[in-house]
Amino acid sequence: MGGTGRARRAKRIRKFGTGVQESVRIVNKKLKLSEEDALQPDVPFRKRQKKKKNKPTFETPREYNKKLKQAKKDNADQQNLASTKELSRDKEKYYESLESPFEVTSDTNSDTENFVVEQEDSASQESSLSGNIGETSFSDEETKKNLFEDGSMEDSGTEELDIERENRLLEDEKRLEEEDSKAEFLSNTVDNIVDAEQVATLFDNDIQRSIADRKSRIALVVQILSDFKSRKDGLHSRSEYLSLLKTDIGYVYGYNAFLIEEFFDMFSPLECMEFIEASDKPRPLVIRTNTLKTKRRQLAQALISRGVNVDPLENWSKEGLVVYESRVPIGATPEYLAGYYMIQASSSFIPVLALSPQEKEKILDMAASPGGKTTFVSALMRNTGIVYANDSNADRIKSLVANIHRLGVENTIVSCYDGRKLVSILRDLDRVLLDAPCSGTGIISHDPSVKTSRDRPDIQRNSVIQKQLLLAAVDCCNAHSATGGIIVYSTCSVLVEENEAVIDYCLKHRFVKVVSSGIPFGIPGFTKYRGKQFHPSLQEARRFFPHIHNMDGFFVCKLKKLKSGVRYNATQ
Amino acid sequence: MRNLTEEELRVVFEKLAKFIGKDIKALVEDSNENYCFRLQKDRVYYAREVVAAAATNIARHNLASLGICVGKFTHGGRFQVHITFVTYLARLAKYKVWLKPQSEMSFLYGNNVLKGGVARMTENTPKNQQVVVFNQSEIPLGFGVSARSSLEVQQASSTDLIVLNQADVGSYLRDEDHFVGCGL
Repeated sequence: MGGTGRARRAKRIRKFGTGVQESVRIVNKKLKLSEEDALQPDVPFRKRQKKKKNKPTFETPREYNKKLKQAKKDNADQQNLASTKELSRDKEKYYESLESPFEVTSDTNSDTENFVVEQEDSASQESSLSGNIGETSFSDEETKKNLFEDGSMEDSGTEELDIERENRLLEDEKRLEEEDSKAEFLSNTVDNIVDAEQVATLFDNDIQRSIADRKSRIALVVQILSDFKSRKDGLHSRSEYLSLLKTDIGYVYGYNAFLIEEFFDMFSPLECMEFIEASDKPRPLVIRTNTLKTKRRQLAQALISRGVNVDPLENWSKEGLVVYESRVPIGATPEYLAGYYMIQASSSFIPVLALSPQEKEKILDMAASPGGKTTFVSALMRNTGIVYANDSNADRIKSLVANIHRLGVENTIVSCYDGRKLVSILRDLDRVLLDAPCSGTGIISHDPSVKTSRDRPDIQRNSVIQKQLLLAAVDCCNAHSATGGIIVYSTCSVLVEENEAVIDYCLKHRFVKVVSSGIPFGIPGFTKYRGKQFHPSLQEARRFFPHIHNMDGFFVCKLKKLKSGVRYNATQ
Repeated sequence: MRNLTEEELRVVFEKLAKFIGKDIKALVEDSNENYCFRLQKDRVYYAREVVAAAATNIARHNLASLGICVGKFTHGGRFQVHITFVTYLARLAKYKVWLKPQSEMSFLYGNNVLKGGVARMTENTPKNQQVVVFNQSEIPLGFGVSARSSLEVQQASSTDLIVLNQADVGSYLRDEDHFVGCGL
């Protein structure tokens, strides 16, 4: 094992350094701090106590708490001279008896009692964590020691158990990492401090700017806008900065003005930049196990033996596998052709999970091609019941039919209708899935042409079709279904006009309510957006973004049909 | 969509019998549900009776598929089995051929099976018999006609043809448009 944890760590630090020193050195250089003001790395072990006061250091939470307590004590001393004697007496008592440190401290700091107690609670929790094997007496003792002597870690070392040692090792590692990340963060922010020279030429239109220049200008403007109060130059207004940023983004990332405007309406400048950058990155390749034919573990073994590196998707999915790298084309293995899996973005699992199809139900997928969601629905129903798969486009139906046959799904009926006319054909369905045709602003990484090809009329046209389709979906559904009466609406767009506005319209015109989709993550839908008020229950809808969830940007909302008929509002 | 006529049903069953023997009944009557055959345009579909009944809602012109496609009638009135039905054939097939891992990709590209690629074969396979082709992990890859009986195979050289490819799952990629029973 190479000695105790501490010895190993010390050895490692001797050899490689903590990493903190290096980062702090860089920070000092960047900030041009003199010797005296220079930041000090948090030196581990014994040296830790020799830190001088008032110097900014990276502290562990425990030390910070202690310091805070000390400061509070001093404060109390100054404020309440009368209690000083009591305090010192108490302190003596405290050091003599080593009996009840908690009470004593809380006595002395009556004015900040609650706070300190809280601090101590956390401290004691922390220390009991280090001995979490259940030996309370031991950990109690240790707590006291920790309270009195800063170097208790070293002193108690000889007595500690193996498990505790391991624990401490882990804690040390964790602390080390925290320190590293703190230092990194600091150095990043230092990088980001606005350079006066750059700011001066920010609005200079005469300069010919390359893409790299524009990128750095974007970064600079985003920083200024993120803290505009303290970073503004006084000459230009916020809107001037914003328009500068928008032209740059249009130039660098190739978006048209309309989409940039829409994104800026939705996000803060900083988040908008994250979204736009994440939209350019490819998403991980995900496959879904066809549970009708195989199990995920068997499939993973078969694929690994073919040189495909796979890993289970996150724990909300029992079927998904992430493909990291592959020596063979993943869409042409014998397993793929025999229908053991489907290549499917992780985002398209979620509407189906929200739909939660039950066995022996009648389910309609209104816009089914190319069949990823339809076959998932059938797999969850274990090939029982009936699934109507509809698509309005005859060309896309070919791939839908091919996928259905490849995956061995035998409970589907594939039809080619305009979804809005399905009402006259299909009624009393238990569940309806509507993955509506949309502008695709969430899947820019798949289809970059969206950046330039969408404009306001397109969105409005989409929105109208979506509203009609959703009303049709609601009408197809049976409100009196014993198990269902559920409609799930999803789009791969992030725009409010195609999502919340559509649901809100439906809530006004049909007897439906929004119910929780049961998805453990995602961001609640907007209930108000740029002056528009939506129904408050829309917070049960879920939004997913590429920069937050590392999946395609999309929207899912689950509706429950209450009764059939058309709702007429008082306003109409 | 309509039921098959007596004559059509006879043609289909005769064709399927070449794969699975006389045991057509096993195909039509599952343990708990009854299956049936339906004709839509020139394609024959195999579906549960519930599904077939539900499909009557859909107009003939708009129905693209129901259940699983078995195959299609040619203009000459003969019946051609499609690759989409291979899983059902595989379950009941009388004669099977298992491929070696190195030759399975070749078969999936539409090539015939050579002696060198055959791992094993059902005993007593006659010549010109419909066989279902598997890989080593029992995944059905397609079907074809045996070019030699299993006795002749033992004397054959490693480059001799053993199975003539009639259909393989690679056609899901190769000609999606052509073979899929899209009644549109």
